Amino acid sequence: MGIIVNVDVMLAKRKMKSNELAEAIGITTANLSILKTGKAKAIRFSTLEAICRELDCQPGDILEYVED
Amino acid sequence: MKKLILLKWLVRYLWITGVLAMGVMLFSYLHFLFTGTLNAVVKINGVEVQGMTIEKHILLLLIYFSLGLGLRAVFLLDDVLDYFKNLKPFSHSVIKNFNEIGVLFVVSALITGIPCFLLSGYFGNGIERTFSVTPGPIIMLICLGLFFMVLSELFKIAKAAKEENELTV
Repeated sequence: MGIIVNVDVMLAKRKMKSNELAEAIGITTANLSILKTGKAKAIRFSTLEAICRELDCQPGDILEYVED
Repeated sequence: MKKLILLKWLVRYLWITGVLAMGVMLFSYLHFLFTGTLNAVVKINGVEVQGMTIEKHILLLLIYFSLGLGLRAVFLLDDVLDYFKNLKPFSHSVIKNFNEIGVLFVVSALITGIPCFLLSGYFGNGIERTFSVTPGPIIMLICLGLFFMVLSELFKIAKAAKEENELTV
């Protein structure tokens, strides 16, 4: 399964820093780093909702499926 | 944690007495071998062995070897308890040690069981057919070995679940 997390792309588009997003959505910077580096095994709907709200985007803008 | 400390003490006691017993057994065996008094009546697991032949020597060595395997299992259990004490129950070593303990117990049971069966059947008073409500020590040891193997698998699953939980953002 090739799910790519494009949070850093969205962060760059919104000119927002990682720690600002982490603080806004209520997760640690370490956890946000896990998400950005693709090490995360799962993402909660509540986290996804918070990221979409803060970055003003759709889940599809953050998550992308790439065939192996 | 008090129970863990108590268990650790007991396991360490078992290991030390086991090592001493193995040393005494080896010394006695070599002593009897060199002084030529090994032809005296020897009891192995309650079976009287009279007159040592080469087959019986091999069987004695197999039993000695199985005791060594049992001691190795006790040593590994002590190591596992150290990990538990340091609050690292899902370490890779714990999973590996549990599996190795299981294999050692099963192999030890088979190595002990077969010679004892042969001793009682061919060198003792014939094969005894007895029915008992309580299972024999060999069956118990095999069950214990399989239990440790299952425990190893369970810890592997638990470790995967823990990692997945930790990597859920």
